[in-house]
Amino acid sequence: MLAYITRRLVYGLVTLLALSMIVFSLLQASGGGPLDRLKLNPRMQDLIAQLTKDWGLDQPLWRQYLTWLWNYVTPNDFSPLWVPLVAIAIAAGVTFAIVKLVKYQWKGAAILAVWVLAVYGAVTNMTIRFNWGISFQGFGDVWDLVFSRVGATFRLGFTALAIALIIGIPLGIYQAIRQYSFFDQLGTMGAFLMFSTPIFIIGVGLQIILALYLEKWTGVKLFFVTGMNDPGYANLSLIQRIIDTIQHLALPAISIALISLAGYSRFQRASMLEVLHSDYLRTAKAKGLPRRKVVVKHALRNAMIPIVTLVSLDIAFMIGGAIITESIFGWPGVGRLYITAIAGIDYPVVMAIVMVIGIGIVAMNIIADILYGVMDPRVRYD
Amino acid sequence: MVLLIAFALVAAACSSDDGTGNETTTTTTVAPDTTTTAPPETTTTTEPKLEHPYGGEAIVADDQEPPTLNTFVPGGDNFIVSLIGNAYFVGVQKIDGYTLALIPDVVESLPTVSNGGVVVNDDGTMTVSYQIRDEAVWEDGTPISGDDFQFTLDTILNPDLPIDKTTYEDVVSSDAGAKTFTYTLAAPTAIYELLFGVILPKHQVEGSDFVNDWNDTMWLSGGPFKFDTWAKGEFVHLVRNDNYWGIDEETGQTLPYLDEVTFKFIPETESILNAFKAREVDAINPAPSTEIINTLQALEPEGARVEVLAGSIWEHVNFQFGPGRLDRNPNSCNDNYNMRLAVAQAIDKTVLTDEILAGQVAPLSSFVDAFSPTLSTKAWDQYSYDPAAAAASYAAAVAETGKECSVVFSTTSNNDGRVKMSELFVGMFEAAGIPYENDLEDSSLFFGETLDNGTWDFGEWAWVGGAGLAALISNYDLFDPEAPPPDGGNYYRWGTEDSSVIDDATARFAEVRDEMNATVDDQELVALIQEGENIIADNLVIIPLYARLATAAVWEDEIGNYKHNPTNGGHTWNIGYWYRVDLEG
Repeated sequence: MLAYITRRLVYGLVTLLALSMIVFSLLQASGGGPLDRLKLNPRMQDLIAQLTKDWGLDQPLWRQYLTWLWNYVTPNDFSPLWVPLVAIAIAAGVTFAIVKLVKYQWKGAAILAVWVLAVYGAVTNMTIRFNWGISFQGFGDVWDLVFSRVGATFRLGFTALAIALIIGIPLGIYQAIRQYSFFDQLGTMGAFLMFSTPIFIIGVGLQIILALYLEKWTGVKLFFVTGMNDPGYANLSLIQRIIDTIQHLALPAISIALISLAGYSRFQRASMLEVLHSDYLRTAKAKGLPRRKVVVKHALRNAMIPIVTLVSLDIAFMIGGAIITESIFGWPGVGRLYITAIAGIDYPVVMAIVMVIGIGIVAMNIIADILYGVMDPRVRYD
Repeated sequence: MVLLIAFALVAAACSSDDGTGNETTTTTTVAPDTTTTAPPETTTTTEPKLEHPYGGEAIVADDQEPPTLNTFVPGGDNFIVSLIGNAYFVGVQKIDGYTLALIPDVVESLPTVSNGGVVVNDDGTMTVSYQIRDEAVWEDGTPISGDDFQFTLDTILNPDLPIDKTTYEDVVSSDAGAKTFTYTLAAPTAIYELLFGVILPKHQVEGSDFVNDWNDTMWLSGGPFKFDTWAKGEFVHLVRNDNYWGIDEETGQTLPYLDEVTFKFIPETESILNAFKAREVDAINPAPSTEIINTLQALEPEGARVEVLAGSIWEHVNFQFGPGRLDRNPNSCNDNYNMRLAVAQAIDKTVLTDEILAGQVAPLSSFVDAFSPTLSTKAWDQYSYDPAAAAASYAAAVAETGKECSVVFSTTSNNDGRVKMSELFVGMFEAAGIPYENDLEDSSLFFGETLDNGTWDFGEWAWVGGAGLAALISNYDLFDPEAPPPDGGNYYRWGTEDSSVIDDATARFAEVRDEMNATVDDQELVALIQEGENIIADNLVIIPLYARLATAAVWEDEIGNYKHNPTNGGHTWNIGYWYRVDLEG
């Protein structure tokens, strides 16, 4: 197992290095530069020259890349790391305990939840800082810029993910059990409808229906069109804060969840059908086991395994933020920062976010592979 | 999974990263002192009725978020920075939204030659004097003084700071008093009008890391509101500056009327419109389009007021005169006047404004229209749409050059209006019998490389106008034969060393521009401005098309005293005067 993880980590590092080279080169080759906007002001020439030198834009591409890479992996703050380390250690211990002691079939989900909490605890108590440079748009520290948005992105992403899983997986299971029934056909049609509808349409549609018309019909403001919180949020009571949070969070979370749950339900349905038609299930039925026991105990556990990969990748992509959704709903997440950085040709911010997403995907893939082994004893790490 | 939802919600509700920061700010209205021991008054004096009520909040939405709040550093020139800054920045001048003229802000009056504020000295230098308003103070009550002006000047000129030093670097001496500031420029220039638009509070900013300390927060306010919070990605929240010294001259009331102002950042125009419809925001100025204007105007019966004005951003088509044009179009004949004339006669500007701007504004007769319409000589009115005349001019160009002249049009492909324009041009040039081709590019490529290298034939983009003579004069730099890129702004390369057109007109224009930059006499300036305008028009260096629309909307039953300012003053130019209509009564 250890050898496997080490090998995967090495592959991951090579992948990340290649990713950084490709994205850095593409950014440079895309034409234009961060100072282009200033060029249209004929009185800015001296300033442009000064900034070109200060930001190293006059250096050859390879030197710019190496400077960026060295800075990116260089910590400039060595404050104690005990909170993240303790969080990770506890998560590892709990994972071990779950693997060894827990016998019920949801232990994969339990492990996932533990790690989500651990990562959240580690990120929010992060005491290490890397020198990711300064933003070309406003001189902000890139590390601060990116991590100031992560909380908002996680808030939206995890809520949407939870909604999608809670609805999507039971939906897929039920569709598989009642294959070709009216409900199955309806679910399939709904899933394809959600798949084929652009998120922009869903988002704006929800704004119009649930925020504008619903308020007109009921006379009560149930949901907000945009924003994460009311500007006076800090002065609200806990109950008011929760209500305010739900009112702002509902529409963007539902928008993302509608598309995700379509994916989860289709995936779960296919996976469940495959298991339901397997020999060992037929044997279980032939032995006279109750239908409920066959489905829940024998079919569901194996049918859930492919979902792990899907959820893992979703969490990884979540770090990059829901770019369009965050823009539609004025949500202050990483996705919006990413879009703004691309529009402003802000290399340090773009590179930082791309690499964070890359690291997330590599890490979550490794975690998914480990969870595979936990959930399916047939999987061996050779 | 339920845990996940619960976790997300509880974490969101309990998080200190609540989008408004950790600090809890409460705005308190100071009630009259009721602890007096004096017996109750029995006189019959009555308190004067306030014309406008105090209190309440206005929420303004914008699709841009400032990259920094520091207006001096790169990124601080973003329009949203000044839109928000209208609430707390203080400086020499601002732009009146009603007259579109420069008006004094922190000074008693704007210095001119006639009022003695500007003096051209015998040694060829020019001295400008400001008299600071006695009542002007920062939010902490410290008087705004000449030292603040001096500190601002020193900060701008600090060689270690990435700040545009243009014109400030020509200051040869300065003198600061308690309520005066005087500086001398090496030579007369009307650009002095634009200097010291924002002043720094010396007693607070001195000793700080100017580039890094003022990106996320703001120095002391000298305006009607003061900075409270910036929730990144969401909003900037401002609260009333109780020490603001401004007075509404009409009502005699102290400003501002509102207690709070919030600027919300919503990137998607569609969402801005929905937020406005839902009355989650009170005032917006979205990028104008026919659909948006129609949508907003449909809300007028419900209480919205929509202002659609000609803005100060002016679109123009232009010719490249440098050798790079031949890379794009070997058959370019821009050096031939008849070819340029044929193009001018082939373009129907009325159709362009009708199709692109839904006929909301008239075509421009001159680029001066975008700055100071009263000064414009309408120099481009000599060219009218006439396909037959265009065909004749084209034939003359072909005969004179011996080439099969053609036009290759380049502009940005990610701007709907420009794409529409390129489509309309196809029909117009075909009607005139001029071979024509579209070759559009992404804006990053167009502005990043094509413009610098002069590798276009027939191009289109926009420049930004502004109020006052100085703003107008600075745009004449764009045609300066002595200023090709990368050091200068003459991207057209008209009259530059490598230009295909160097003649008496380019020489005279260079003289006019030099004279323009060396005089501060209004009448002389106007004469030079008009001569320069005519030279550019007569030689068809560019063809001004139209000013972009500037649209703004407000819920008039909620916010009073709102007036859109289509210049770089922006729709928040008089935010101190805004009041809640729904508090009246």
